Amino acid sequence: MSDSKESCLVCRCEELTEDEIRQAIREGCTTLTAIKRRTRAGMGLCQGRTCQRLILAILAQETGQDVAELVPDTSRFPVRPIRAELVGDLRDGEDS
Amino acid sequence: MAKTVDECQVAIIGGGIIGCFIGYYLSARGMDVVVIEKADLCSGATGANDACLMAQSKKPGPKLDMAVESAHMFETLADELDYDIEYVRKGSMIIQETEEEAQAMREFCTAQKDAGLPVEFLDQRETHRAQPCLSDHIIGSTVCPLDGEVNPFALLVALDRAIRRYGGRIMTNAPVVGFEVAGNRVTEVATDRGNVRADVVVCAAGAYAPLIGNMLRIEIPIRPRRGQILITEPIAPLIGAYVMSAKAIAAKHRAVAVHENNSGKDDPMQFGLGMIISQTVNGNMVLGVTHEFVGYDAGTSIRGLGSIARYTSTIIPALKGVNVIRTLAGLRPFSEVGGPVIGPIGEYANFIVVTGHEGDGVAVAPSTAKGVADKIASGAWG
Repeated sequence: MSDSKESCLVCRCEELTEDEIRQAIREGCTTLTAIKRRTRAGMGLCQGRTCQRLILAILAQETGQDVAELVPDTSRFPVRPIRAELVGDLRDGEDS
Repeated sequence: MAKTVDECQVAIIGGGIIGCFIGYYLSARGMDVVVIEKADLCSGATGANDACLMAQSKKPGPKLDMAVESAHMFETLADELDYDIEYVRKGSMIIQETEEEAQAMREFCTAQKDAGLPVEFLDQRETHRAQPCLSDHIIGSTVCPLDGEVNPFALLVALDRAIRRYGGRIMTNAPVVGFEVAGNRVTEVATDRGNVRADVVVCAAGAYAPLIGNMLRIEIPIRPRRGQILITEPIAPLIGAYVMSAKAIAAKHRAVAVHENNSGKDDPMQFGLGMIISQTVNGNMVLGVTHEFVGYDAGTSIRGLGSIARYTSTIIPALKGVNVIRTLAGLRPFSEVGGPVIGPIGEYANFIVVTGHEGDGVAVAPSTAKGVADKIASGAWG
């Protein structure tokens, strides 16, 4: 098994390596959302809770930007997985 | 004067499914192409869709022809692009809940069968045998084995790589800010990242096309129509063919006003008219979808999400216990003129608009893009 940095897992839910993330950036992805669409990183069960910070760090490194300048993925309802039945119970009220 | 950073034969504004397919077909036949995208590829309607490709909802005519032709093109696309675009053909099923819907579908599908589309009528027993998870109250369905699903993200990666292989360029984070013109020709596209000189300019900017048109004082008859979607955790295979409601077709068939003036305030799903349920290759259920005129607001709403969750659970009760992990929304290019807007528009002979497919962009993209590429390459347009 290789010890190289490139083979370590960044997104555990979708089993994506650092190498795959860097590849996506080199192919033109400049935001977390673009990386997500291209690789599926952040589409798994944890929805990026584990990997988002790691990917932002890699993105900062690859593009020479400050992490603080990078835009995170769009925040959407739900914050945590929620049964569809409970989503159905939500009715007219404030928009999320 | 802004710097000219690139020049090409065809500049394509919009890095979504239509723009990338046009870029692919043009560059594959040797034309020099630059795709200009304001954000990242796939960030418009293409990145917010349900991935379902449907011919079954189209009445006989050009729309049906384009969908059928595209379905055939999708079959060989993975090989052609040398990339797994996750195209599967499990068919589509349009379910009926009332006798009125069943009657409307009988008439609708008979016309389609006459036009050569493979459609089958299933009675109540056959419908439940085909998809046991469906609620008992469903009285019948129609299925079309030609309909399929694809992964739009994978598809755009494949097209992006192919365009680059053929020497084309993709400019991302390059919002268009204006144009240079000379007489009745557009000569340069001005972006935040510099100008691109081009012989022909294609506007495939989807819901944002009117904003591009404004820069040339051209009115493009498109407006944004929001669709919201729920994504669930991956689960074991629950459905085969993706499921749609017959309500939309029944409503149109009976000449009930469907698309007019629905602001989304009463029921963003228009009482189930827009319902679609599909399951991705990874097992996630995709539940949708609203049709709302809310300007350029791509946010989600409790009203919309609640409506989708409620209605889809009445069709497949097992969905109630499945966890929603993500929601999303996108803006489709709704056409004010009843169909896609395709061709040179306004006073500029070389400004070609290709948009207005509303929710059917991916389903008709291959044939649409090939047709446009043919006209540009042959010199008929531009």
